[in-house]
Amino acid sequence: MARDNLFNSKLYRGVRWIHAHAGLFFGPVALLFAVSTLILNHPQLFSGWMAREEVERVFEGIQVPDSEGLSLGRSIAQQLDLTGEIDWVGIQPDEKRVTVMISRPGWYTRITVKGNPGRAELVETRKGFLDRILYLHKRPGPHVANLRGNWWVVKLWGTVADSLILSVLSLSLTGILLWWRLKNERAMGLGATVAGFTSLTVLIWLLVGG
Amino acid sequence: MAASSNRTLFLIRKIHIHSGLFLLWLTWLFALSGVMLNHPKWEISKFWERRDVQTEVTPLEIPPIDAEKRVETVLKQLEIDGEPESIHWSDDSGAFTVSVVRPGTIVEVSVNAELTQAEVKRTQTDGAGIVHMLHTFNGVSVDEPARQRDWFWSTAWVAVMDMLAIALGVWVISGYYLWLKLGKMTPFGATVAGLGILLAGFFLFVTPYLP
Repeated sequence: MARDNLFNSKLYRGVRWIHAHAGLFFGPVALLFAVSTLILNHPQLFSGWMAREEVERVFEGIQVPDSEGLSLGRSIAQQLDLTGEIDWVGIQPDEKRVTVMISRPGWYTRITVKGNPGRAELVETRKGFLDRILYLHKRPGPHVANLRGNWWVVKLWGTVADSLILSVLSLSLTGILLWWRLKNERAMGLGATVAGFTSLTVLIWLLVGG
Repeated sequence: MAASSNRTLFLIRKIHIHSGLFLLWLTWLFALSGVMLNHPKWEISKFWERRDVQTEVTPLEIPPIDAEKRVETVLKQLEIDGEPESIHWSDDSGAFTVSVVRPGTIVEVSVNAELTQAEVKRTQTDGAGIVHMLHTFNGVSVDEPARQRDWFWSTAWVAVMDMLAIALGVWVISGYYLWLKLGKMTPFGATVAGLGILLAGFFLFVTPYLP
Protein backbone atom coordinates (compact mmCIF):
# COMPACT_ATOMS: atom_id res chain seq x y z
CA MET A 1 0.00 0.00 0.00
CA ALA A 2 2.79 2.37 1.01
CA ARG A 3 4.70 1.47 -2.14
CA ASP A 4 1.62 2.14 -4.24
CA ASN A 5 1.17 5.55 -2.65
CA LEU A 6 4.79 6.42 -3.34
CA PHE A 7 4.38 5.37 -6.96
CA ASN A 8 1.23 7.45 -7.23
CA SER A 9 2.70 10.53 -5.72
CA LYS A 10 6.36 11.54 -5.76
CA LEU A 11 7.79 8.97 -8.16
CA TYR A 12 4.91 9.31 -10.60
CA ARG A 13 5.09 13.08 -10.62
CA GLY A 14 8.87 12.97 -11.05
CA VAL A 15 8.68 10.54 -13.93
CA ARG A 16 5.96 12.59 -15.61
CA TRP A 17 7.97 15.77 -15.13
CA ILE A 18 11.05 14.23 -16.79
CA HIS A 19 8.97 12.77 -19.64
CA ALA A 20 7.21 16.06 -20.37
CA HIS A 21 10.24 18.35 -20.12
CA ALA A 22 12.68 16.13 -22.02
CA GLY A 23 10.07 15.94 -24.80
CA LEU A 24 9.44 19.68 -24.76
CA PHE A 25 13.13 20.54 -24.99
CA PHE A 26 14.23 17.99 -27.59
CA GLY A 27 11.02 18.06 -29.67
CA PRO A 28 12.29 20.52 -32.33
CA VAL A 29 15.63 18.67 -32.74
CA ALA A 30 13.76 15.36 -32.98
CA LEU A 31 11.55 16.89 -35.71
CA LEU A 32 14.68 17.90 -37.59
CA PHE A 33 15.83 14.26 -37.60
CA ALA A 34 12.34 13.07 -38.61
CA VAL A 35 12.13 15.42 -41.61
CA SER A 36 15.70 14.69 -42.74
CA THR A 37 15.03 10.93 -42.58
CA LEU A 38 12.15 11.36 -45.05
CA ILE A 39 14.36 13.45 -47.36
CA LEU A 40 17.20 10.91 -47.20
CA ASN A 41 14.79 8.04 -47.93
CA HIS A 42 13.01 9.80 -50.80
CA PRO A 43 15.48 12.18 -52.47
CA GLN A 44 13.59 12.08 -55.78
CA LEU A 45 10.54 13.68 -54.10
CA PHE A 46 12.62 16.57 -52.76
CA SER A 47 15.09 17.07 -55.61
CA GLY A 48 13.11 20.10 -56.86
CA TRP A 49 13.73 21.85 -53.55
CA MET A 50 17.42 21.02 -53.38
CA ALA A 51 18.70 24.32 -54.78
CA ARG A 52 22.33 24.39 -55.82
CA GLU A 53 24.44 27.40 -56.66
CA GLU A 54 28.15 27.34 -57.48
CA VAL A 55 30.56 30.26 -57.26
CA GLU A 56 34.23 30.11 -58.30
CA ARG A 57 36.88 32.43 -56.87
CA VAL A 58 40.66 32.70 -57.19
CA PHE A 59 43.24 34.01 -54.68
CA GLU A 60 46.99 34.47 -55.19
CA GLY A 61 49.92 34.26 -52.77
CA ILE A 62 48.62 31.53 -50.46
CA GLN A 63 51.34 30.07 -48.22
CA VAL A 64 51.34 26.28 -47.82
CA PRO A 65 52.98 25.46 -44.46
CA ASP A 66 55.13 22.36 -43.99
CA SER A 67 52.44 20.44 -42.13
CA GLU A 68 49.59 18.07 -42.89
CA GLY A 69 46.06 17.15 -41.90
CA LEU A 70 43.98 19.50 -39.83
CA SER A 71 46.78 21.97 -39.14
CA LEU A 72 47.45 22.39 -42.88
CA GLY A 73 43.74 22.74 -43.64
CA ARG A 74 43.25 25.32 -40.89
CA SER A 75 46.22 27.40 -42.04
CA ILE A 76 44.94 27.58 -45.63
CA ALA A 77 41.34 28.27 -44.55
CA GLN A 78 42.54 31.03 -42.23
CA GLN A 79 44.44 32.79 -45.03
CA LEU A 80 41.24 32.71 -47.10
CA ASP A 81 39.16 33.93 -44.17
CA LEU A 82 37.02 30.79 -44.19
CA THR A 83 35.55 29.07 -41.13
CA GLY A 84 33.69 25.79 -40.91
CA GLU A 85 34.23 22.07 -40.48
CA ILE A 86 37.33 20.86 -42.33
CA ASP A 87 36.04 17.70 -44.01
CA TRP A 88 39.14 16.58 -45.86
CA VAL A 89 42.75 17.59 -46.52
CA GLY A 90 44.68 15.97 -49.35
CA ILE A 91 48.26 16.50 -50.55
CA GLN A 92 49.42 15.56 -54.06
CA PRO A 93 53.21 16.13 -53.79
CA ASP A 94 53.91 15.23 -57.45
CA GLU A 95 51.63 17.99 -58.63
CA LYS A 96 52.55 20.35 -55.73
CA ARG A 97 48.85 20.58 -55.01
CA VAL A 98 46.84 20.69 -51.78
CA THR A 99 43.07 20.17 -51.61
CA VAL A 100 40.99 21.24 -48.62
CA MET A 101 37.25 20.71 -48.25
CA ILE A 102 35.43 22.81 -45.72
CA SER A 103 31.73 22.96 -44.91
CA ARG A 104 28.93 24.36 -42.78
CA PRO A 105 25.18 23.64 -42.95
CA GLY A 106 24.12 24.01 -46.60
CA TRP A 107 27.47 25.41 -47.68
CA TYR A 108 30.53 23.57 -49.06
CA THR A 109 33.87 24.92 -50.31
CA ARG A 110 36.55 23.03 -52.18
CA ILE A 111 39.95 24.78 -52.11
CA THR A 112 42.74 23.73 -54.45
CA VAL A 113 46.14 25.37 -53.90
CA LYS A 114 48.82 24.92 -56.56
CA GLY A 115 52.43 25.92 -55.81
CA ASN A 116 53.94 27.55 -52.72
CA PRO A 117 53.17 30.40 -52.35
CA GLY A 118 50.38 29.44 -54.65
CA ARG A 119 47.17 30.15 -56.40
CA ALA A 120 44.04 29.03 -54.57
CA GLU A 121 40.99 28.10 -56.61
CA LEU A 122 37.77 28.01 -54.61
CA VAL A 123 34.54 26.34 -55.65
CA GLU A 124 31.75 27.33 -53.28
CA THR A 125 28.52 25.34 -53.42
CA ARG A 126 25.42 26.58 -51.64
CA LYS A 127 22.67 24.01 -51.38
CA GLY A 128 19.77 25.68 -49.61
CA PHE A 129 17.64 25.06 -46.56
CA LEU A 130 16.86 21.34 -46.97
CA ASP A 131 20.55 20.53 -47.23
CA ARG A 132 21.13 22.24 -43.87
CA ILE A 133 18.79 19.68 -42.31
CA LEU A 134 20.60 16.82 -44.05
CA TYR A 135 23.98 18.23 -43.05
CA LEU A 136 22.99 18.27 -39.39
CA HIS A 137 21.50 14.77 -39.61
CA LYS A 138 24.80 13.36 -40.88
CA ARG A 139 27.18 15.19 -38.53
CA PRO A 140 29.56 14.46 -36.91
CA GLY A 141 29.19 11.13 -38.76
CA PRO A 142 31.43 8.11 -39.17
CA HIS A 143 33.75 9.25 -41.98
CA VAL A 144 37.29 10.65 -41.58
CA ALA A 145 37.06 10.10 -37.82
CA ASN A 146 40.40 11.80 -37.12
CA LEU A 147 39.16 15.12 -38.49
CA ARG A 148 35.56 15.14 -37.31
CA GLY A 149 34.30 17.80 -34.93
CA ASN A 150 37.10 20.31 -35.65
CA TRP A 151 34.63 23.22 -35.90
CA TRP A 152 33.01 24.12 -32.59
CA VAL A 153 29.54 24.12 -34.17
CA VAL A 154 29.83 20.49 -35.33
CA LYS A 155 31.36 19.52 -31.97
CA LEU A 156 28.44 21.16 -30.14
CA TRP A 157 25.95 19.59 -32.53
CA GLY A 158 27.50 16.17 -31.79
CA THR A 159 26.78 16.79 -28.10
CA VAL A 160 23.21 17.82 -28.94
CA ALA A 161 22.75 14.64 -31.03
CA ASP A 162 24.13 12.48 -28.18
CA SER A 163 21.85 14.28 -25.71
CA LEU A 164 18.89 13.65 -28.01
CA ILE A 165 19.70 9.93 -27.94
CA LEU A 166 19.91 10.00 -24.15
CA SER A 167 16.62 11.86 -24.00
CA VAL A 168 15.03 9.29 -26.35
CA LEU A 169 16.15 6.56 -23.94
CA SER A 170 14.86 8.46 -20.92
CA LEU A 171 11.59 9.29 -22.73
CA SER A 172 11.02 5.65 -23.58
CA LEU A 173 11.84 4.42 -20.06
CA THR A 174 9.69 7.06 -18.37
CA GLY A 175 7.01 6.41 -21.01
CA ILE A 176 7.00 2.72 -20.04
CA LEU A 177 6.58 3.62 -16.35
CA LEU A 178 3.75 6.04 -17.11
CA TRP A 179 2.00 3.49 -19.32
CA TRP A 180 2.31 0.70 -16.74
CA ARG A 181 0.43 2.83 -14.24
CA LEU A 182 -2.59 2.96 -16.60
CA LYS A 183 -4.12 -0.42 -15.81
CA ASN A 184 -6.71 -0.14 -18.63
CA GLU A 185 -3.94 0.26 -21.22
CA ARG A 186 -1.67 -2.56 -20.02
CA ALA A 187 -3.01 -5.38 -22.20
CA MET A 188 -3.07 -3.35 -25.41
CA GLY A 189 0.33 -1.86 -24.63
CA LEU A 190 1.86 -5.27 -24.02
CA GLY A 191 0.39 -6.43 -27.33
CA ALA A 192 1.87 -3.42 -29.12
CA THR A 193 5.31 -4.01 -27.55
CA VAL A 194 5.37 -7.71 -28.45
CA ALA A 195 4.04 -7.02 -31.97
CA GLY A 196 6.71 -4.34 -32.47
CA PHE A 197 9.50 -6.63 -31.29
CA THR A 198 8.33 -9.60 -33.35
CA SER A 199 7.82 -7.69 -36.60
CA LEU A 200 11.17 -5.91 -36.25
CA THR A 201 13.02 -9.18 -35.53
CA VAL A 202 11.45 -10.92 -38.53
CA LEU A 203 12.20 -8.00 -40.86
CA ILE A 204 15.84 -7.73 -39.75
CA TRP A 205 16.23 -11.50 -40.12
CA LEU A 206 14.93 -11.25 -43.70
CA LEU A 207 17.17 -8.25 -44.46
CA VAL A 208 20.31 -9.82 -43.06
CA GLY A 209 19.65 -13.07 -44.81
CA GLY A 210 18.61 -15.45 -42.09
CA MET B 1 -18.32 20.20 -27.00
CA ALA B 2 -16.46 19.10 -23.88
CA ALA B 3 -17.23 15.43 -24.64
CA SER B 4 -15.79 15.81 -28.16
CA SER B 5 -12.66 17.46 -26.78
CA ASN B 6 -12.27 14.66 -24.24
CA ARG B 7 -12.63 12.04 -26.98
CA THR B 8 -9.91 13.77 -29.05
CA LEU B 9 -7.66 13.92 -26.01
CA PHE B 10 -8.33 10.25 -25.22
CA LEU B 11 -7.55 9.24 -28.81
CA ILE B 12 -4.35 11.31 -29.03
CA ARG B 13 -3.16 9.92 -25.71
CA LYS B 14 -3.87 6.37 -26.88
CA ILE B 15 -1.98 6.90 -30.15
CA HIS B 16 0.92 8.54 -28.26
CA ILE B 17 1.23 5.59 -25.86
CA HIS B 18 0.68 2.61 -28.16
CA SER B 19 2.64 3.84 -31.18
CA GLY B 20 5.49 4.52 -28.75
CA LEU B 21 5.33 0.99 -27.39
CA PHE B 22 5.03 -0.59 -30.86
CA LEU B 23 8.09 1.31 -32.11
CA LEU B 24 10.06 1.03 -28.86
CA TRP B 25 12.59 -1.54 -30.14
CA LEU B 26 13.07 0.23 -33.46
CA THR B 27 13.65 3.50 -31.59
CA TRP B 28 16.30 1.82 -29.42
CA LEU B 29 17.92 0.30 -32.50
CA PHE B 30 18.26 3.74 -34.11
CA ALA B 31 19.42 5.28 -30.84
CA LEU B 32 22.19 2.65 -30.56
CA SER B 33 23.23 2.95 -34.20
CA GLY B 34 23.08 6.76 -33.92
CA VAL B 35 25.60 6.66 -31.06
CA MET B 36 27.84 4.38 -33.12
CA LEU B 37 27.72 6.75 -36.10
CA ASN B 38 28.49 9.73 -33.89
CA HIS B 39 31.47 8.01 -32.22
CA PRO B 40 33.48 6.24 -34.92
CA LYS B 41 36.53 5.97 -32.63
CA TRP B 42 34.71 3.79 -30.10
CA GLU B 43 35.71 0.11 -30.26
CA ILE B 44 32.14 -1.03 -31.02
CA SER B 45 31.99 1.31 -34.03
CA LYS B 46 35.14 -0.12 -35.67
CA PHE B 47 33.23 -2.98 -37.27
CA TRP B 48 34.95 -2.45 -40.62
CA GLU B 49 38.33 -3.39 -39.11
CA ARG B 50 36.79 -6.67 -37.88
CA ARG B 51 35.20 -7.59 -41.21
CA ASP B 52 35.69 -10.98 -42.80
CA VAL B 53 36.48 -11.08 -46.54
CA GLN B 54 36.28 -14.16 -48.73
CA THR B 55 36.85 -14.32 -52.46
CA GLU B 56 36.01 -17.18 -54.78
CA VAL B 57 35.91 -17.71 -58.51
CA THR B 58 32.78 -19.40 -59.81
CA PRO B 59 32.09 -20.69 -63.32
CA LEU B 60 28.94 -19.40 -65.00
CA GLU B 61 26.68 -21.03 -67.56
CA ILE B 62 24.80 -18.23 -69.24
CA PRO B 63 23.60 -18.12 -72.84
CA PRO B 64 24.19 -14.89 -74.82
CA ILE B 65 21.70 -12.27 -73.57
CA ASP B 66 21.01 -8.52 -73.76
CA ALA B 67 23.20 -6.23 -71.66
CA GLU B 68 20.23 -5.09 -69.51
CA LYS B 69 19.47 -8.63 -68.39
CA ARG B 70 23.06 -9.68 -67.72
CA VAL B 71 23.32 -8.38 -64.18
CA GLU B 72 19.99 -9.83 -63.08
CA THR B 73 20.73 -13.22 -64.67
CA VAL B 74 24.22 -13.49 -63.17
CA LEU B 75 23.01 -12.55 -59.66
CA LYS B 76 20.17 -15.06 -59.95
CA GLN B 77 22.52 -17.85 -61.00
CA LEU B 78 24.93 -17.04 -58.16
CA GLU B 79 21.95 -16.86 -55.74
CA ILE B 80 22.96 -13.39 -54.55
CA ASP B 81 20.10 -11.39 -53.10
CA GLY B 82 20.19 -7.76 -51.94
CA GLU B 83 20.19 -4.17 -53.13
CA PRO B 84 22.41 -3.64 -56.23
CA GLU B 85 24.19 -0.39 -55.34
CA SER B 86 26.60 0.19 -58.19
CA ILE B 87 27.18 -1.33 -61.60
CA HIS B 88 30.34 -0.57 -63.60
CA TRP B 89 30.71 -1.71 -67.17
CA SER B 90 34.43 -2.00 -67.80
CA ASP B 91 34.21 -1.52 -71.57
CA ASP B 92 32.02 -2.37 -74.56
CA SER B 93 32.84 -6.07 -74.25
CA GLY B 94 30.11 -6.70 -71.68
CA ALA B 95 32.33 -7.35 -68.66
CA PHE B 96 30.98 -5.71 -65.52
CA THR B 97 31.27 -5.36 -61.75
CA VAL B 98 28.26 -5.05 -59.48
CA SER B 99 28.02 -4.48 -55.71
CA VAL B 100 25.09 -6.00 -53.91
CA VAL B 101 24.43 -4.82 -50.36
CA ARG B 102 22.31 -6.01 -47.46
CA PRO B 103 22.87 -5.12 -43.79
CA GLY B 104 26.00 -6.97 -42.69
CA THR B 105 27.04 -8.17 -46.15
CA ILE B 106 28.55 -6.55 -49.23
CA VAL B 107 29.08 -8.76 -52.27
CA GLU B 108 31.16 -7.52 -55.21
CA VAL B 109 30.77 -9.60 -58.34
CA SER B 110 33.14 -9.18 -61.31
CA VAL B 111 32.02 -10.97 -64.46
CA ASN B 112 34.13 -11.50 -67.58
CA ALA B 113 33.00 -10.50 -71.06
CA GLU B 114 32.14 -14.05 -72.12
CA LEU B 115 29.90 -14.53 -69.07
CA THR B 116 31.76 -17.73 -68.23
CA GLN B 117 33.34 -16.75 -64.93
CA ALA B 118 32.53 -14.59 -61.90
CA GLU B 119 34.83 -13.47 -59.13
CA VAL B 120 32.75 -13.09 -55.99
CA LYS B 121 34.17 -11.05 -53.10
CA ARG B 122 32.00 -11.37 -50.01
CA THR B 123 32.57 -8.94 -47.10
CA GLN B 124 30.82 -9.91 -43.89
CA THR B 125 30.56 -7.67 -40.83
CA ASP B 126 29.75 -8.56 -37.23
CA GLY B 127 26.57 -7.60 -35.33
CA ALA B 128 27.80 -4.04 -34.78
CA GLY B 129 28.20 -3.69 -38.55
CA ILE B 130 24.65 -4.93 -39.10
CA VAL B 131 23.30 -2.34 -36.62
CA HIS B 132 25.38 0.40 -38.27
CA MET B 133 24.27 -0.54 -41.78
CA LEU B 134 20.59 -0.76 -40.78
CA HIS B 135 20.78 2.93 -39.85
CA THR B 136 21.84 4.01 -43.34
CA PHE B 137 20.44 1.25 -45.57
CA ASN B 138 17.89 2.83 -47.92
CA GLY B 139 19.00 1.88 -51.43
CA VAL B 140 19.05 5.47 -52.72
CA SER B 141 21.31 8.52 -52.57
CA VAL B 142 20.64 12.25 -52.22
CA ASP B 143 23.54 12.86 -54.63
CA GLU B 144 21.90 10.61 -57.25
CA PRO B 145 18.16 11.34 -56.99
CA ALA B 146 17.45 9.27 -60.11
CA ARG B 147 18.67 6.06 -58.45
CA GLN B 148 15.89 3.68 -57.45
CA ARG B 149 15.52 0.84 -55.00
CA ASP B 150 15.54 -2.56 -56.69
CA TRP B 151 15.11 -4.97 -53.79
CA PHE B 152 11.78 -5.63 -52.11
CA TRP B 153 13.24 -5.83 -48.58
CA SER B 154 15.08 -2.52 -48.85
CA THR B 155 11.73 -0.93 -49.81
CA ALA B 156 10.14 -2.61 -46.77
CA TRP B 157 12.93 -1.34 -44.51
CA VAL B 158 12.53 2.21 -45.86
CA ALA B 159 8.79 1.99 -45.11
CA VAL B 160 9.69 1.07 -41.51
CA MET B 161 12.17 3.96 -41.24
CA ASP B 162 9.53 6.33 -42.67
CA MET B 163 7.06 5.02 -40.10
CA LEU B 164 9.52 5.84 -37.30
CA ALA B 165 10.16 9.32 -38.72
CA ILE B 166 6.42 10.03 -38.95
CA ALA B 167 5.87 8.57 -35.46
CA LEU B 168 8.63 10.83 -34.12
CA GLY B 169 6.72 13.80 -35.52
CA VAL B 170 3.45 12.49 -34.04
CA TRP B 171 5.05 11.98 -30.59
CA VAL B 172 6.46 15.50 -30.56
CA ILE B 173 3.28 17.22 -31.76
CA SER B 174 0.93 15.10 -29.64
CA GLY B 175 3.29 15.63 -26.68
CA TYR B 176 2.96 19.42 -27.03
CA TYR B 177 -0.82 19.04 -27.44
CA LEU B 178 -1.18 16.87 -24.33
CA TRP B 179 1.03 19.23 -22.35
CA LEU B 180 -1.21 22.17 -23.33
CA LYS B 181 -4.55 20.37 -22.92
CA LEU B 182 -3.86 18.54 -19.68
CA GLY B 183 -3.36 21.83 -17.88
CA LYS B 184 0.27 21.14 -16.97
CA MET B 185 1.59 24.21 -18.76
CA THR B 186 3.91 26.12 -16.43
CA PRO B 187 6.25 29.06 -17.08
CA PHE B 188 9.16 26.66 -16.59
CA GLY B 189 7.73 24.23 -19.18
CA ALA B 190 7.18 27.08 -21.63
CA THR B 191 10.79 28.21 -21.09
CA VAL B 192 12.08 24.67 -21.71
CA ALA B 193 9.99 24.41 -24.91
CA GLY B 194 11.22 27.83 -26.04
CA LEU B 195 14.86 26.90 -25.41
CA GLY B 196 14.38 23.73 -27.49
CA ILE B 197 13.05 25.80 -30.39
CA LEU B 198 15.94 28.29 -30.02
CA LEU B 199 18.49 25.45 -30.01
CA ALA B 200 17.18 23.94 -33.26
CA GLY B 201 16.77 27.43 -34.75
CA PHE B 202 20.37 28.34 -33.91
CA PHE B 203 21.78 25.37 -35.83
CA LEU B 204 19.41 25.74 -38.78
CA PHE B 205 19.32 29.49 -39.26
CA VAL B 206 22.39 30.98 -37.54
CA THR B 207 25.32 28.57 -38.03
CA PRO B 208 25.43 28.89 -41.85
CA TYR B 209 26.15 32.62 -41.42
CA LEU B 210 28.55 32.57 -38.46
CA PRO B 211 31.71 34.64 -39.07
